[in-house]
Amino acid sequence: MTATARPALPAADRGALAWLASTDHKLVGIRAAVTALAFFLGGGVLALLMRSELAQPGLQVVSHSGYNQLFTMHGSTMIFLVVIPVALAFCVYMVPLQVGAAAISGARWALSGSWLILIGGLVMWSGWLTRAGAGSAGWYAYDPLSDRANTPGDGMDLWVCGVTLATLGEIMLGACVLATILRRRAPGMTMLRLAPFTWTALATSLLVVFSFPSLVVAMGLLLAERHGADFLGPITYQHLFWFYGHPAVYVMFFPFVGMVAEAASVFSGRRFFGYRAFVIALLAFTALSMTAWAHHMFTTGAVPNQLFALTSTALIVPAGVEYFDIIGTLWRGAIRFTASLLFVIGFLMQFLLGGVTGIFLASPVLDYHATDSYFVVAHFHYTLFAGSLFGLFAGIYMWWPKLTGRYLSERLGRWHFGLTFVGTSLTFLPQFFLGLDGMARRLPDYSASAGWTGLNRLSTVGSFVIGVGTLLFLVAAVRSLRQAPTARADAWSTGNSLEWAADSPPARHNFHALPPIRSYAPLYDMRNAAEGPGDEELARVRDVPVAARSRT
Amino acid sequence: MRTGLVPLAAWGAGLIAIALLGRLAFGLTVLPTLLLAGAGAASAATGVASTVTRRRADRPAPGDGPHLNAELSLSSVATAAGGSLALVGISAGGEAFFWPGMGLAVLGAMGILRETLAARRELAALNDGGQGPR
Repeated sequence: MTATARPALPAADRGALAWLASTDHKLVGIRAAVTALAFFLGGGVLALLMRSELAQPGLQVVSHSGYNQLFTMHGSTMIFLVVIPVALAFCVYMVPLQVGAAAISGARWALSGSWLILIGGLVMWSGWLTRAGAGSAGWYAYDPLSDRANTPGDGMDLWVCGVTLATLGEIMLGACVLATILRRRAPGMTMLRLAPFTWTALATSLLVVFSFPSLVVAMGLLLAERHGADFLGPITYQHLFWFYGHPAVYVMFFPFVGMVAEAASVFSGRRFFGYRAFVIALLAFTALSMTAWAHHMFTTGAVPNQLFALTSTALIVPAGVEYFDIIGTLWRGAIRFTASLLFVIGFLMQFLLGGVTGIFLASPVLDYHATDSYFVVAHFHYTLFAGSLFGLFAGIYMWWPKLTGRYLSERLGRWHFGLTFVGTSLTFLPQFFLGLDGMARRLPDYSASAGWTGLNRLSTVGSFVIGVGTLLFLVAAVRSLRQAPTARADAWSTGNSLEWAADSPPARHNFHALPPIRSYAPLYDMRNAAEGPGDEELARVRDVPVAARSRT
Repeated sequence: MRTGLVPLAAWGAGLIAIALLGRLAFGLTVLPTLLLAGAGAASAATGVASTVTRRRADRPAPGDGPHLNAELSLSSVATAAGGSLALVGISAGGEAFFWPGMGLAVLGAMGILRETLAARRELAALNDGGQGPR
């Protein structure tokens, strides 16, 4: 094999201008992730304020109107500006590396998309500066609650505008990831040799590209209605919103399942177990997840409940296959209990509670009782916080050396895991019981005679424990960034997919050379090849040209 | 499975099948049926398009190709910022935001056009010089 000369283009300037306008997918991904982290801290502070308000009956930390703004902005921030963007940010960073590409497809679109998310967030948060305050109609802003008569003020308009911008940015990022997987795979990288994370990125980008536009339409219609038009009925709005909103839940889940799958594989020293079953289950999961949206509308009486109960309940089958595959990967593996693997185990335990209670809510009979109660709040926080964030941290601890060339402290990581696990359990488990006891979501206060004080206090304590855990992570990140880079290309020595063949952090065009791709775990194949150890094999294939179909 | 056709078409077909099932057996109304079937059809079409374009791309560039992305693209940032400003103008800010935003977005779009043309010229020059993809 001979090397193909790559046209010389100027090396990326790593200064401030590069952070502003680089088309390098790695910088775009990091900027989107840092943006999400900043909003995560902001959204977290809002959550602590809410939990302080509910710590005991009769407290007035904020006004009732202020509380409406708090829960609206907390939910909107976490969904539109944190979990979805950070999921896409990792896809933007990792997918080109895992498919063996030198760049992302549509790099300018990705760059613009990352900026739209940041600007959208700032526009949404600028509502706090208006006289009526920020948006206050809840994160799904049901019509007619969100029209101008019921939610007056510019803050709500800015919320609609911010949601639209952030969603447009997310669609652009998703389209770039999808195009990269479909068009920029390296020679030999067939679809059934994609890494598990890349498959989850494909599922994610399909959902983003084909369901998120309905939210843009819904926001456009809502904005028109707020400015005098009158053609958006409540049911039409709910269909448009939830056609986005339910797939969005899986956009906030699939990439983290992918991270968990990769981390389980790396830290058990094994190839991912049940790969084909995982892929088939993932595609079925993706299709079903897009057909389950109207279970959010059971109580409207305007949807065929049997159909959506069926599709929602069926989701447990592919979910079970994925769990089985992840556990199968760990089974009899040479397990290293790193912080990343602890978060994998935390994910498996915590997401199970979120998923199973979701199946309860897929039953219309139970849903009629539990809808709009704290049971629902607990359910979706177990999926989104206790599930997705545990998956995210499993991915962060695993890929941090790839991103930065440095390792995070394992000791602080274990403390971070412990505090987060205890904190989420203290915060969200009591909320199931509060919901079953009749506590409605979005209540700013409750009577002392309701008997909810103890559980609410426990929940508040738990939220601050999570806050302490998050601070520990920030400390670990800052300490790590101050150290000199020491990580090798295969930072854990048990990497399986192609990103571990790139430098840590990767060079501008990702690879000096690619190893032969004969399965979904090319580095595992190299390590276990009869002819010799991985590093020698890597050196031997240095003349393989990098696949870089870079037309944009 | 060498291209994305199979997963995207299968996924799209699955959505259309569930939309039809919902419509015929469960009385699903028009809007949700269209949302679901439309997404399915769009997915299948994307699978076909990606397969066709990848095959076309494979012909002239089977190996390593030149990188046409500009390393920096301030125009893309300007377009995003300008478009956002214009949308803020439509939502709440009025003309004081809308027109400057539109101006910035148009300038950004022109910059992207300039970057794209420059990249094409660069590719043509590389091909003439024998370094381009064959």
